[in-house]
Amino acid sequence: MNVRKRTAAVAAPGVNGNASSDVTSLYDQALIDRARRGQRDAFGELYDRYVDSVYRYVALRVRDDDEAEDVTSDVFIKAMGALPRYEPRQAFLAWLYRIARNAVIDRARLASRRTETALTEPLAATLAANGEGLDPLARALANDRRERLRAALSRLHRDQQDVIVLRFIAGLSADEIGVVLRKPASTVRGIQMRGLRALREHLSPDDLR
Amino acid sequence: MSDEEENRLARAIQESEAPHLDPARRARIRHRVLSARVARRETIPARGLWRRVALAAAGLAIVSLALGGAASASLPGDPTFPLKIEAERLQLLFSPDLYRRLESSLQHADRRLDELELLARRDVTRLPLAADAYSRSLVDVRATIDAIATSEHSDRARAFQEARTELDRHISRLAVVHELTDGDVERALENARDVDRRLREVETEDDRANDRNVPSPNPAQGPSRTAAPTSGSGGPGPGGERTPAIGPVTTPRPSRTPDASRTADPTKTAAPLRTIEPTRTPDPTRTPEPVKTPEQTRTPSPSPSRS
Repeated sequence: MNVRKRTAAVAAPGVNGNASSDVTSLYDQALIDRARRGQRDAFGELYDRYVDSVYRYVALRVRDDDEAEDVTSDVFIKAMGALPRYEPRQAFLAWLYRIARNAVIDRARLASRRTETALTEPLAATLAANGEGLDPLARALANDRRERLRAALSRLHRDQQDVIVLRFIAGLSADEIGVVLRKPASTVRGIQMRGLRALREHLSPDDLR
Repeated sequence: MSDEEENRLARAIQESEAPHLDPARRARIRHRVLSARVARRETIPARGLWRRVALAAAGLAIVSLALGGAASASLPGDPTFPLKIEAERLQLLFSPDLYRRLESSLQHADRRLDELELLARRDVTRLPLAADAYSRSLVDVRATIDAIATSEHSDRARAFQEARTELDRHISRLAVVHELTDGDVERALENARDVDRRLREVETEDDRANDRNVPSPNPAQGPSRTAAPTSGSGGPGPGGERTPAIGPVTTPRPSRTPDASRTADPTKTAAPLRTIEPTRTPDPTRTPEPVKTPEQTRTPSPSPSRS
């Protein structure tokens, strides 16, 4: 599969070791140490660095933006409480994703039903609607498209949802997803393939045009 | 699903607008997170955890000992007395061996009797409570005796003998207290006698069963052993021997003394001793019953069947 990572998705410090992320993780480690000592401003800085990545993942795994806001708050509050147990051997973002994943699962267990959004509008029709400065109609269409993607994703198996969101929205590699999900990269690739196949069944043919 | 299709779908997902965290929402979450009161669960190293568990266990043991110690000196009517009773019940509950359980229940009854005697001297107003506590302790004794009676416990004879000795002592002591007080312990005394009676019944049944089961090693000794299962034959059998002993409990029972020698010999070889007992030997009515000798039973049987 020839899919390039999105630049925005990898703007945050890497999940897995590469040169730049090593430097970042040293900086992160300093922040984490300060945050462990109870310095809230250090944790605030960690929040600023990672909230976009976490929110992006969460927003596609829950029903709406308000719920995404709640879950994202929960994730960082839990992370702050669990910081003494964080082991620097693993990347901080992978650790956050794992907390986020558990928070989403907990939330899904609580919610007895999920909102099913009708998949009537073709996804492709609104693919062009992207970026800032959109008129209200374009913004509405963009939101609608995201809602349909969210609804289609919600019909997949939990692991498939995780892999697709982390792969195509968060922009992680199979290896990096493997770190988050604690699965081998080959397993992640298999889940991704099955997830995409299942997702296609839940999207209208026009969405793929 | 072809690669092209897969790529197209992946691109569609990728290029769709990713959820965007607007600044207002971002600030709201930040404020919520940083102002949250975090209940930190600090990581406890394994060694530290075990140390805490050990400390907790030690603390619990100290508290239990202190509480048990305080309760052990309590008397019926004291606030901690129920605690002592519960602790004793627990002790019985964790005594799987019936012999040990009977021993424990008799010990508890003995304690209740001590308390009763103490209160008879110190505070007669609490005597009914003490008598009631004693009667309740006898319930456990009785239940354990019944349990042993229905079991094949190896120490049953010893257990019954010890229980009888203990109960006799109780009855004597209760009789003394009963004479000094206004009848508060009458019921307790009756209960003790009831248990004692039950014990004697069980022992009598045991004796009968033993006599029935002892095989005669030599047919020549048949007449002396055939005298044993004579219950109902009209002669003074073992049941007849015990009858006077069931009466007033405080009376000494010389007829039970030979039984002590029996308990020392669990293989029941002491049974011939019973022929010495005057109640058993003069049973001449049983001698004309040589039916059980193999020779005699065999000879008459073939002839009618063949005819």
